[in-house]
Amino acid sequence: MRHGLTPTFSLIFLCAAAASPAFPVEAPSCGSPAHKCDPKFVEANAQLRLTDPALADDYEKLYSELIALSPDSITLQKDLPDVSASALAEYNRRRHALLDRGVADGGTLDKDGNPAFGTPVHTVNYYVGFSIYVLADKNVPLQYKKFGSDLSGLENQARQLEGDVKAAGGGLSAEAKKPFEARLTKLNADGTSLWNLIHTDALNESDSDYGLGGGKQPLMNPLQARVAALSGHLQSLDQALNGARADAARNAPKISEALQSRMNPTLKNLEPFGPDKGVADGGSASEAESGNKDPKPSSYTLTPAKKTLLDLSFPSPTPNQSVAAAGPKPAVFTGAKGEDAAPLLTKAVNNLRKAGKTETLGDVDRRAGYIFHQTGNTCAIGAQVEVLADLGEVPADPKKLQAKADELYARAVALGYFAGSGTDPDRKEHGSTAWDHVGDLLDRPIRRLYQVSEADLFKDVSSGRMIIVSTDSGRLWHQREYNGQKHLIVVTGVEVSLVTKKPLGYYINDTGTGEGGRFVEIGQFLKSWDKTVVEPL
Amino acid sequence: MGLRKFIAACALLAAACGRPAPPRASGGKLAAAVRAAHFAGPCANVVALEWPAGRPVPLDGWNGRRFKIFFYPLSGRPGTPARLSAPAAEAVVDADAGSPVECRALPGAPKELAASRWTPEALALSDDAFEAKSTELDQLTEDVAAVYAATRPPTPADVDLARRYLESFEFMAEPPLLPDYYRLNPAFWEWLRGAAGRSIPKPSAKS
Repeated sequence: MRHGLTPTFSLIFLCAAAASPAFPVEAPSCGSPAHKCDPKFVEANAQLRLTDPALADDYEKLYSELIALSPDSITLQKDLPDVSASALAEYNRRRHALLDRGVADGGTLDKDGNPAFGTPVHTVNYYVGFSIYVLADKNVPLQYKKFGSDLSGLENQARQLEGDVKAAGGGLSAEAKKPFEARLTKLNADGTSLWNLIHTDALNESDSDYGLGGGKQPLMNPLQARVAALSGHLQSLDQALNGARADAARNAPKISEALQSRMNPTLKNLEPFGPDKGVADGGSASEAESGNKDPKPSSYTLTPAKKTLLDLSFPSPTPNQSVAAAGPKPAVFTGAKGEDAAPLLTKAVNNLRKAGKTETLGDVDRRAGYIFHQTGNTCAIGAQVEVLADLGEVPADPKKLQAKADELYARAVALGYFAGSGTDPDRKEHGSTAWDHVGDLLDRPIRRLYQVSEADLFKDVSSGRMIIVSTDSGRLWHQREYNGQKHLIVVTGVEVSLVTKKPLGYYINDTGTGEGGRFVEIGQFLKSWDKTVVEPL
Repeated sequence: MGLRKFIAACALLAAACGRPAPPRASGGKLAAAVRAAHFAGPCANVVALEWPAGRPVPLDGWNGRRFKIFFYPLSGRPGTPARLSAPAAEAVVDADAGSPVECRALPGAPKELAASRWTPEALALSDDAFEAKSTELDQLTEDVAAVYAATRPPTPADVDLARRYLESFEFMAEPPLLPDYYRLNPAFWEWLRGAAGRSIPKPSAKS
């Protein structure tokens, strides 16, 4: 009976990436607590909060506890507090539980069932895990001493087994080999488990973006070498027990190459834990090398990896997975002139759109065609022109829309709807419409309301209506010089979260900036909005 | 004591004590009344929506609850500097009523003023800090109006309040419009000069 070494123990480990990790250890420009202001975390957290506020809160709570322990966790500080192994294990247990919730809540999964790389849950989880890692790192020297002593125990057992096999002589019957094979199997299993502890501690990911164990390299190398040596020793014992095989003998030089390649983190075909077709089982080195490139440890162990306080279990760095949006959606943009006051939040909403987690209510695309550029302070007139276009009374052509605006301006002046001095040659620049006359140029019954609630606004817009609202120019355009100036725009649609059913932002046409279909994130919109609505009945 | 002396004594006593200062106004009412100015009351038919309101200035009497504000044209496009003009309308706002009680357009074409709307210090603030300073000025305005309405010699606390109000006002008010602020109620600004030791400049006759 051929006894095969567990492929996982057959020299499978990834060294910590030699290169400094780029994400997230590079110090952000923001202050302590460092990670929380890292733009990638902020964006992911904002997005997670939009879809699952409860999960975001729980992650936030855990993260805050960890950051409180390690105020500057960007670098591996020497003066980290002493956190007990049991406390770290509990933090990790909580993190795993949150990750499971994130997955169960429908987070995007990769092919292995882990939260897909780059998704909000994945990113937030990663940052939290990194904080645990940094705290755990304080224990590294002691932990590696323990690794060393455990390894010594296995080495001794291997030497004992070798002695016993030699003493038993050759030509053993299958029955006589069984106890030796059992001991060999156990040694492989114990070695595998120990290697998993060492491996996961160092976060051995082949993707340099995730390699975080640069600081552990000096500690890793002796252990790696000893594990490699032990693995080789066990392979020799296997051969001794089962006799040399022609193919194994031929593969001997390749085995050593494969072993070396696995130890070398810079080679591409890095296989953390060789699959069953690994070289120890007689597979070719090239086959082993070209095997699964996914540097995920646990799936390949014959003995399940024992979770330890250092098992951070980051999911595999698979490429970003985008989920096709369900149905056509308007092109979301934030106006270049009307500045986005919260670009990360806007980006988070856009990501949700792409992931199919929102719906757009209101015919934003078609209505974007009503936009034109107002001249002077004629926003109220411009908004009314757009309403007339929506009612089909003005073609959606910029020249015709402008012509209608000119016509209505003349009417407004004649009827006294346009405030300003008649002697002012620049009346169009200095005057404007008074509130009581907004909508009067539509020549039809209207509603003109003040102190409208957010709920009523949402109800109105989500029913598909296009409405005129008054806003604070400075807050809408994110330009303080215009604070306090009222500016009329039309709201053409709303982006709604399919999870919370709440608005994430509104789409507007703004004749002041000349932007049609501009997305304004809900916070900025509500700060700008004067709680007014004007619409034809 | 003869009757005349008695009456004189009473008059002196009354002059010395004045009326007690009205209780400190609850925060926010004045700001809310100014915010409502474009949409409620007589200004909704007079004041152009694109004319921002200036900072309220206490009026005489009314227990310190009425204020005068002006509205001034602001021109320009987003991404370009805003151009402000001299006031084009004025209103009287009642803080307790929550809206203007009087409103009128000012005659003549407003003159554009070639100066920045905010002080450099105000422009340098973050959005949150700017809002906080604005809210602080709103509250200080209500408080100092109460003291102004008390018509008595200012106490040390009043002096401190007056100074804080002036500092806040000078920080947040539009520098090109200081002469127009003075004209809203010269008596108040002169009272402030006495209480705080200084005030905004008295405009020349030509300005």
